[in-house]
Amino acid sequence: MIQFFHVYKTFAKDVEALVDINLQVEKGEFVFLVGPSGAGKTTLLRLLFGDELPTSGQILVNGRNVAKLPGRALPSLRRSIGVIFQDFKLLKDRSISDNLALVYRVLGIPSATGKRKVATVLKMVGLSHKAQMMPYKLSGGEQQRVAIARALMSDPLLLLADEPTGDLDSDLAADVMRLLGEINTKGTTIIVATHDMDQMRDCGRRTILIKGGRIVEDRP
Amino acid sequence: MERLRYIFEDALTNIRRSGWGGLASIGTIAVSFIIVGIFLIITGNLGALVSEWREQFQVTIFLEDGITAEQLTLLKKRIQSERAVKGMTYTSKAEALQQFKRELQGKESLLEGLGENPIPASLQLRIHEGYQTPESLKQLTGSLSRVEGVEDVMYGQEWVDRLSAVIRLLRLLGLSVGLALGMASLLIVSNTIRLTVYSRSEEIEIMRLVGASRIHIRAPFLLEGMIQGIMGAGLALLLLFAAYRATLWQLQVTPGQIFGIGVGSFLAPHWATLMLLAGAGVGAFGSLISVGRFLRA
Repeated sequence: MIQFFHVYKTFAKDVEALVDINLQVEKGEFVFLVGPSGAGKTTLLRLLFGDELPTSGQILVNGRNVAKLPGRALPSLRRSIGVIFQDFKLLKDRSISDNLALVYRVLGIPSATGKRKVATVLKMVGLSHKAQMMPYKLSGGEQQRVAIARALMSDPLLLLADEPTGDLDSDLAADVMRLLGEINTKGTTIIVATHDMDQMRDCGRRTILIKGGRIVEDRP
Repeated sequence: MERLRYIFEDALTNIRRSGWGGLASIGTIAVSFIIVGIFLIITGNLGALVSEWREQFQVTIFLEDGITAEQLTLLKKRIQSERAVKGMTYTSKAEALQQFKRELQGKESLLEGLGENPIPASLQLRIHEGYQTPESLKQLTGSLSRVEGVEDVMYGQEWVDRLSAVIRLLRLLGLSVGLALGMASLLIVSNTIRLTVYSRSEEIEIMRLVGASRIHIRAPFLLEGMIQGIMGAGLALLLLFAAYRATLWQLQVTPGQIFGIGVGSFLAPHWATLMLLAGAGVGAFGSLISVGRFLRA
């Protein structure tokens, strides 16, 4: 599913964000990417959906070489990847269902099909009854679930989550993690970046520890 | 088809959502176009005035009293061969006297005691507009005044010189002011639109994340800019027309009576259409610049 071959990422003025990353993630895996803030977790995720290009090295996502992907091929790569963030990135000026509708409208899916999809993903995250509410009326955990629902709109093969529980208390965080686990059981590959070491303990998932832009531990 | 419908709907929804920001864009475009429109109306009317004057412009050739019929025929032939001349009318001594009497109206007594008719016969030449320049007029009158039977040749020399200068100045002014205003309004509009685009940076980011193509991100903004531009230009035309009617009403005249010689009209339809198109263009270009800058960042 994902392969990194000697990937380096250097930002201006010799800031080395990632150094010689070699990594393989199989289809259907659930992987935690753990490390302190600034370790390079977010950069690694951004390389995966083509928001950044590697300085050197190759990255294969689903058989496609992201490092050499022409700009016009980026949208189709991103349609196969769902991304969620710590700050949810929901649009405050429209309802939950309109936030989700944005995806099918952008992808040019007929509205009947799109609406069915919205209903399906909302049911999956358990928020069908709040479809017409505005985002600010929802709790943080619920907002994150909406963000997850949005990421699922395009049936992604890969789901990337950058600190998805960073702003949530531990109960809500556990909720979100449970939901991601459920999605994973349906076959979606999931990578979760987090600085919260406790969260990973005893969860029995593969954990990759990253520090100073290098992978220091890969525990299955 | 579905995509097109979405783009249209999104553009309209965006305009509705943009609220004050959108109104600011429309207002800015309207203000810029009002200034341009005022200028167009003024130059348009001055242009009409000038061509009216040029239409009436004529060179008068006064004939010697003793001119023979052959000399007159020769002179007419000579004049007809001149490319500058559009047409001519002959006024005999008797006609000229009649005309003069009409103009004196009630003071005909002034003419009593003159005995013999003192007013010369004349030829009035209408001149093609292209030849109404000081140089070609000097050439024409210079050669005609030497023909036998011609007493004198007259035309408003000073007046022609001045008019030519004024027209040159007007054209130059129109071009530079129009260009400057066009650039200024484009800058203002693209800046205003950039604010709206900026306020929707989150939406653009999400669109990129979920795999929207570049065209798909730009198209609604482009359309939104075009619609705002047309609305702004339309508003400008509406306000200009209202101001124009109000001015006419204040002056107690009907259209066409200003300056007394058939000018004083509103923008010609093709100019109004052009303004609407320019509004669409400015709006589209403005949003293209803004979104382009943002997408690169």
